[in-house]
Amino acid sequence: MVSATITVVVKVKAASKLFRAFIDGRRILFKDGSARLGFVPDGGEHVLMWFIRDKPGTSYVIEVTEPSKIKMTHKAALDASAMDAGIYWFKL
Amino acid sequence: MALRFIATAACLGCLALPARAQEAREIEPSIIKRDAYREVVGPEIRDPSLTSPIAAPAVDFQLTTENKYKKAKALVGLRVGNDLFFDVKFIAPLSDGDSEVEPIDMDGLSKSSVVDMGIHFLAWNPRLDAEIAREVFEEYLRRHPSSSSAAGARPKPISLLMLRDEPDLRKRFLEAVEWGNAYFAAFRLKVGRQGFTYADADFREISTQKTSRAVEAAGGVLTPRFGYFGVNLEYQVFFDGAASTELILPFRQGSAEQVKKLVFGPPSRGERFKIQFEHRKAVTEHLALNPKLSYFPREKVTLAELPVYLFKNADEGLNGGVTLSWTSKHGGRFGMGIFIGASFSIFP
Repeated sequence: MVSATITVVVKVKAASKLFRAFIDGRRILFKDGSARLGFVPDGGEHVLMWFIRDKPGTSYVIEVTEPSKIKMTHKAALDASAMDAGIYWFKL
Repeated sequence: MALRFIATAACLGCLALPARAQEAREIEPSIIKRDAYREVVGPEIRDPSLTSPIAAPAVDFQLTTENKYKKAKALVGLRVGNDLFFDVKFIAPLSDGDSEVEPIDMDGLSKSSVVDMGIHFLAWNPRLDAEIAREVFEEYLRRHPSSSSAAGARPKPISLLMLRDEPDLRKRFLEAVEWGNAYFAAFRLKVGRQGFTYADADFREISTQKTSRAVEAAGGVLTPRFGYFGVNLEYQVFFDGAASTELILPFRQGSAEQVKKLVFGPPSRGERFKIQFEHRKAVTEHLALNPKLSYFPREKVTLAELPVYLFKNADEGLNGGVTLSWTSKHGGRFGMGIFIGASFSIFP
């Protein structure tokens, strides 16, 4: 029996060149700020990580918009350290 | 000592992506203003002088006067993929420079109207130790029970910026991040058009236009601690007008005389190769450095430049700085440039 695939949608708004996001260690490639990733649910935990370096004041938004049970929005503006990194755990 | 005076009448930074502009409007006007200003200060990869081959995606505009030359520069940068960026600079001379005066940077296209197109590639692969991040997250939730996900609530993310008020946790989280180096590569193509007027053997004036061009390849690395280091290679084919001569000629066949300045002979074709090393570092919020060392093998000339960007206040629109330079040409010449400008924002 084949498990149904769940699509996870990750969106990002960041003008910075130096923005990267990974899910389970694999880089997310965005198209027009959005990426659709297929997962076979196994009950395990998944990890979304992101990194940004740019000038102080640069704002960015990273969102998980689908599926609804793991929806998340993280919005921030860089401080004088000019960098940020974040992590988000979720189960499907 | 030759003195160069550079007055930058306007210099701004504003991000190219409309989506971000819209998002910025939702934040706060003071942040928007500071954001636009700091775009000029730039992080290590920013290039307020619009002279480096590698630049961040942005929209910039600059007016510059240098000795007898006045120039307008405009830059438009766009992201065209996850790792690819494109930009185009338009550079227009605004006055007739004396063709016999060569700018200290020996740019063969400095007297031409130039379209300068660049494509950039970026590679960056940061990492985060998820186990340490988990420990930090759990400790954060213990200290901030209200942040904990209630039963049925969605899970929450954590980031460095959320740990601003928890220095020990921020330090642990920061230690878990392996920022790594970011690698840049760029290729540029410049095409310039310049008009020349010269006299033939019968003193008849002839006007012509010549197309200069240049190709540039650049590569660099942005380190987490020490800023950006890059090497730029440029090959130029350009045209130079011949030296002018003053002639005393009879005025309308009468006894009066007139003095006329004429250039005899068509413009000559020149080639130039340049290798340049540069470093960029935002030292503080108010000070950025961009030292450059260039060598022209054909002419055996060395050029050292040190642009120092100074900023009084991150929330005020004025900026300025000084460029010190030295060239080994003619036994050694020092140059000093001053640029002052008022940043402005496309945001209301």
